Amino acid sequence: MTVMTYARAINRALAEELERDADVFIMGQDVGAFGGAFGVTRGLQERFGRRRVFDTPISENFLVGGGVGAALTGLRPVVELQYADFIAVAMDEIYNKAAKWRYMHGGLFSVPLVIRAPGGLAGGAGPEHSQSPEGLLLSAAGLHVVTPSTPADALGLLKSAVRSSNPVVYIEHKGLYGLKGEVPDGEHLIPIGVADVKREGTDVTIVAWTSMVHRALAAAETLAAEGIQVEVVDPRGVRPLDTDTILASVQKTGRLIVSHEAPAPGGAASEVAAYVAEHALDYLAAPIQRVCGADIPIPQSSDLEQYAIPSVDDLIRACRSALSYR
Amino acid sequence: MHGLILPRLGQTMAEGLVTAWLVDEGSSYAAGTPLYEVETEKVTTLVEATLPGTLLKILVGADSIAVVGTLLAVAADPGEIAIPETTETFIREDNASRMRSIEPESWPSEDHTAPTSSALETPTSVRAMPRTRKLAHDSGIELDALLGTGTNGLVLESQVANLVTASASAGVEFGDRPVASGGSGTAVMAPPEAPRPTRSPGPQRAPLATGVQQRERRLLGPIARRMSQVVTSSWSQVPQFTQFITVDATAWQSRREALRSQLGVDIGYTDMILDAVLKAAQEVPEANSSFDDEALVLWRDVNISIAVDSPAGLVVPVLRTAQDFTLEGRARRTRELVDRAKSGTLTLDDVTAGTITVSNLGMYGIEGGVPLVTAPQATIVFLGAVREVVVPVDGGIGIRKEVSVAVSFDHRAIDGATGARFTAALGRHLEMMKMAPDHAG
Amino acid sequence: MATRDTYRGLYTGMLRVATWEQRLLRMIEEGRTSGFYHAGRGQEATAVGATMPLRRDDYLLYDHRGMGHAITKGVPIDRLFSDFLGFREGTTGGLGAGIVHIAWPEAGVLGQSGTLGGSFPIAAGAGLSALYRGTDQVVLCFFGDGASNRGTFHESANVAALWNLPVIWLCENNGYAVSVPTAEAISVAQISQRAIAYDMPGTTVDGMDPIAVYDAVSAAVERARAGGGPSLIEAMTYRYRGHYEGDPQTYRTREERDEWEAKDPLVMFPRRLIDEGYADEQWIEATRISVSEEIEAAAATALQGSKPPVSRIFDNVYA
Repeated sequence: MTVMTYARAINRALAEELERDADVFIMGQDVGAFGGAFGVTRGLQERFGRRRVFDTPISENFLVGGGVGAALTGLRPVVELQYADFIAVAMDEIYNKAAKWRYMHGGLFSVPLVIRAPGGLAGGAGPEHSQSPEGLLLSAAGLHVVTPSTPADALGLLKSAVRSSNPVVYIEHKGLYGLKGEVPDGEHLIPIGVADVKREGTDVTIVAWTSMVHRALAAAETLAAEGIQVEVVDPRGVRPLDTDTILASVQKTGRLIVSHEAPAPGGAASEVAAYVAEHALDYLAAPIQRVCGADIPIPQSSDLEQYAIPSVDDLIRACRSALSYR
Repeated sequence: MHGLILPRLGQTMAEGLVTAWLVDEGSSYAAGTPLYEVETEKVTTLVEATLPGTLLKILVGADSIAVVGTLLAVAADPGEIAIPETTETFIREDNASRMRSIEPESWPSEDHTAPTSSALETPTSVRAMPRTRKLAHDSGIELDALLGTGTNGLVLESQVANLVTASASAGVEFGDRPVASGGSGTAVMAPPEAPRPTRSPGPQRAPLATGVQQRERRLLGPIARRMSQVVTSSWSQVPQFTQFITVDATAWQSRREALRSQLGVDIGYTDMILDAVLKAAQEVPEANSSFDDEALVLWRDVNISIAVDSPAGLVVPVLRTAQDFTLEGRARRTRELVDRAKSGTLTLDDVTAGTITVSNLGMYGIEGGVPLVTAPQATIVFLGAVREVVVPVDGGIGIRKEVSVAVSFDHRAIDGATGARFTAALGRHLEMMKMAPDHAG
Repeated sequence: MATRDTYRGLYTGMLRVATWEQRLLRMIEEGRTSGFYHAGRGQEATAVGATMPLRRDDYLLYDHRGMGHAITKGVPIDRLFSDFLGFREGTTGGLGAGIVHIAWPEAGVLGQSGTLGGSFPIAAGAGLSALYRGTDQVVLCFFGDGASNRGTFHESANVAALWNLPVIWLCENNGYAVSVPTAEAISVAQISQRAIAYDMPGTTVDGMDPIAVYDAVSAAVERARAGGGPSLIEAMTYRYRGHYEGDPQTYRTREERDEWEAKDPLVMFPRRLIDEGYADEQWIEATRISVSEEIEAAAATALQGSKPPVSRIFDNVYA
């Protein structure tokens, strides 16, 4: 085990895969000598050369569509959208091309493309640079969408994404770049679509993604002191969604809280809530609660933006509310 | 080959703590041999072999909790030579057959278009969470009959759970309601058991001091957990009050000796106390009762719960239909119950259906105490030690023996005056022991 | 430059494409097909003339007008019928394909974007891929005058020129984006002028003349293979049928159609073969017969196919 930051774990994953497979290359804005807008690709061009790691013009349609074209013709591109919000800019390329090219062309191709997209609050980045747009991709059949919350997950999921024969949108959280954690030495792969129970508990389940996983764990710690055992399930993505793990947890606890930074409407939390309501209604001892971002654009002010996403206290309150049904 | 299955040792038993195996793997035994000891919520019991055999493999070891019906061990039939493979096959097949047998028979089919009569989908005016509805449905409870005590009239899961427990111990089908006794010739239901707090999904531990070294952390066994649940619910749900009286016990010794010589049976203070409680309960039947949220149910029988300290913790065997026995009959039965309580061989029938409780810690020298009503029983009597006190006698000083008696009542249904009538009657009957023995019965 | 075989090959190619389409239109009339078809009648010179210069391992992203590009690049024509018939023998394995989404990787046919202009970035990516892998493959990306207005064209043309990608941007300018004439939608007189903005060669050719198209594309392919980067070629052409089968075509006049039909490559080009001595009447007649037979045989083969089980819809979502 080595302790490293989330950003460093992503960098390591990229380096290991560039090293392993000559078909892997990285392109994006500022990913070259500059090392990425957030320093995540630092040193990679220096080490692997301009052929393997290079900058592109500000052309998100090309970035993703070009990645699809390269993937169709035998390469394994890793493209970086500077902010996950720019998924909207390249939506046709992601939603219609990357996701569906294989299907609509009769399965004649595979699309081994990784789209890295830094999401989440970053301290005053504003409404178009702070979003968590994974919900936009919930209906993108053909696509995988993963969301690491820890350095170890960041490493293992990215390496699996690069090796996947399917297009994977890898939404990394900008606010977690500095998060340190233990990362296994050597080859570390995490299968895509497998949830991780970050903390076991018996009384209430919190399903949370990226930054909210950590707030859920903080809430669980506080409630544990009162004898309330919170289970924290990190689906580590939204497509595919590990409904088995979520159902098993809810069947155990009878109480479900779903939490992400994005607003609830159309989000993965709503999908989880609906799925559980469909498949485990009679296990529910309390109403499902979506503890999600406010249904507003994210304010620019770094003070105010915090009020646009759920706090630890919000989660604690939700747990208490769920437990009031006895 | 046959399996040893954890039996249901009483209607409400759901699980048991296997405390010890008395036969080792590989040992042979005859039918009737005690195989293992199991502790349930109420008792610790030795389970005997129903078939002769050789114990092959223990699946649920000592200090493990298992639900009723669990395959605890596998045994070979006499003369059978078992190899590990066949044992494993037996276990696998046993598990598989259990999986099949738990499949519900009349659960809504997979055909989503077909209308079902599931309680889960019934949009009644009653509000309840789905899991509560499922519990009610599975237990045959009509939610309509319940007045929700949660927010905005929500029927709580604990309400249904309490009904399930109460019904199970009373042996009644839901839909009936407990009725007050009175009509001659009508069957009178057995008293309900104490409410069972909702089975919480997990332990809800109170925060402990940090930085303090623990000597040991003792997990509560089923008996202790049961006690914990009962007193918690009594304390939080039953408003109660306590009355005190001091009785003159000077004549108890001579009364005891007189009874002994007269009846040829060893009569103890406990028997004399039970006698007084019985008489007081018959005189003031409101004290031999239970409150069911609507009515005070007066029980026909006086079933006296006797608190006994046993090695496994507090157990409360019940002297059933105390009114139907003579003093010496009661004494014999009481001794038997206490012996079994101390040796851990009470059956579940021995500990259910009490209607009034007596607790006596006199043997520990305790002078007095405030007992906690054991819901749903309305009354509990506590007696302290017999002690000598100095009293004024004819202008001089005399010594007399006294006992402090405390009686707690469920105040939801018993008022102070009614309680006082019982307490006074009890005092009177305790003091009347100085008079000549009668033939109780 | 074009040889006798080139001339003959272009004619045979155009004839195959037109005959195939004619046969498909009959299947459409008979109600056997699913999906939409945007007929390419009239534009054969562009589709075939531009595709013929490619090698089999070069990449093709075709456009919405006719199947000429795909047929010329080597997609088996019976399978093409099967795609329209919704049969499992089609390239999509029975999923079905209208004018879009037919692909044949072994002939470099990468498919087509259903959203107009969606093929530009993919073509640029395929060009990048060829460069990255160090091959001399080129990419031919067809598009219409309408799609030339997509922002994706700008992004893709820019990187192609910036990185010298081996891509030929081939615009089939048939004068209308469905009903809107180019004059009402495009800021420049000729789309080829846009090449100036990216500092790449841009030319406009007679799209009704297969030789003109062939020569222009051949030059561009040669340049791209040699590392000279992309080119933009605009072929002026015309579709004789509506945008879709059943289009009322209220947006254009009979006179205009007559004017363009006078340039029909399937009428004009065989005359030219004879006039310039590349073929005689007998060869032309023999070619007509052999092409008809080939197409009929392919149709007969295709019509014996079968539809896939319903479970087909769940296949191939993921690799």
